[in-house]
Amino acid sequence: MGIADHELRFRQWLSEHTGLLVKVARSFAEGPADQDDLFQEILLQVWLSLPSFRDESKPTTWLYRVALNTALAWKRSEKKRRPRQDSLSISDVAAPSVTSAEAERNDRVVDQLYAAIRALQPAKRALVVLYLDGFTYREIADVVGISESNVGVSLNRIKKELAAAVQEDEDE
Amino acid sequence: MNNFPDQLQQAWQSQCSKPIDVKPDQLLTVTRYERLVQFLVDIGMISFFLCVGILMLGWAFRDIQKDWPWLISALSDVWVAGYILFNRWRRRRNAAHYDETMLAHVEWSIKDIEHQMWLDRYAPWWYILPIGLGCMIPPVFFFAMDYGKRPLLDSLMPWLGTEVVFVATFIFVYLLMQFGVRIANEKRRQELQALRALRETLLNTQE
Repeated sequence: MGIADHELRFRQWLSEHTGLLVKVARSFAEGPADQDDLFQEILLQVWLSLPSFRDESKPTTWLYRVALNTALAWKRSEKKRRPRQDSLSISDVAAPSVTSAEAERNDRVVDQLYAAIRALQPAKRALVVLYLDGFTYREIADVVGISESNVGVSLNRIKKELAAAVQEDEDE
Repeated sequence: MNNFPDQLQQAWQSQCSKPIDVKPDQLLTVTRYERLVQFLVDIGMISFFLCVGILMLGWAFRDIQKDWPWLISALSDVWVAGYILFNRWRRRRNAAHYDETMLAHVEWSIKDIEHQMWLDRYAPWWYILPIGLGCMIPPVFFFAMDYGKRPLLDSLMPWLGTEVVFVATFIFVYLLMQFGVRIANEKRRQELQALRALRETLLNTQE
């Protein structure tokens, strides 16, 4: 892959799938500063890993693999909060919110979901983020590297955990 | 799947984002800097040992009949430079691929940390021992060659003095390294524990 192709594909994927990377950053890091740091780390790893993309998987599957592996490594790393690109933060990516009652309710539910996801173990976080984004068990198994039946069993348990956490949050 | 409230999934999927302008050059600034520093450190260390090795070689060939023990020093310096190079090459070849499955990436990370701990544990044998032998063996030969030609004390004292200085230096470096390794390994053990727990969660989902 030439430099021009590399950059073209990078920009094209970012224009289509930035939301996916934001979701991973928000699910694995707490607070805006850490989320921005993880977001930039994911962008960096996507850029660095892109030459090894072989068209054997869908871009979203590939991006999720890179993003989730980066998030797991970032969680353990001490090299956090390294300024890279100025004025590149998750708040820049968020689309202007539509001020309707339903949109506000959605935002609230999403915030509760993120809080509940961050309380899960890292492996469970990965599974649930993929599930919430509408991935099939087959696709989740492809990203995580476990069998479809294992995905199903795990998700059943995690969904109950997550629904209970969100419900509890709402009751409060 | 049906038990999970659809509204949560719908809310999740309703999140929107707008395209951003990412400048790879800016994004890579820190990484390039880190790589440059690592490269310069490696080059500095390798050059140092190679230069000392060449110096020892030159020293030995001034009068090979008499000064050949310096060849041992040259050999130990080349060994250390080669070992650093080999390790860097090995690490680069086995570097993590972020686009692997999560389980494969976790397995790789576990292996990498275990290997780093193994390297640190045996660093004294790979680095200090060859350098130590390279420094301490030639004086033994020089003492042996000198034996009987001069009064015993005249040749024994400089030899003993040299050996004592070397031994003290290497013991100090060894202890310093062990201290550093203990601190680094504590963090690595925690990392390893977290990774193993992650692997267990992924593999034992049917329990």
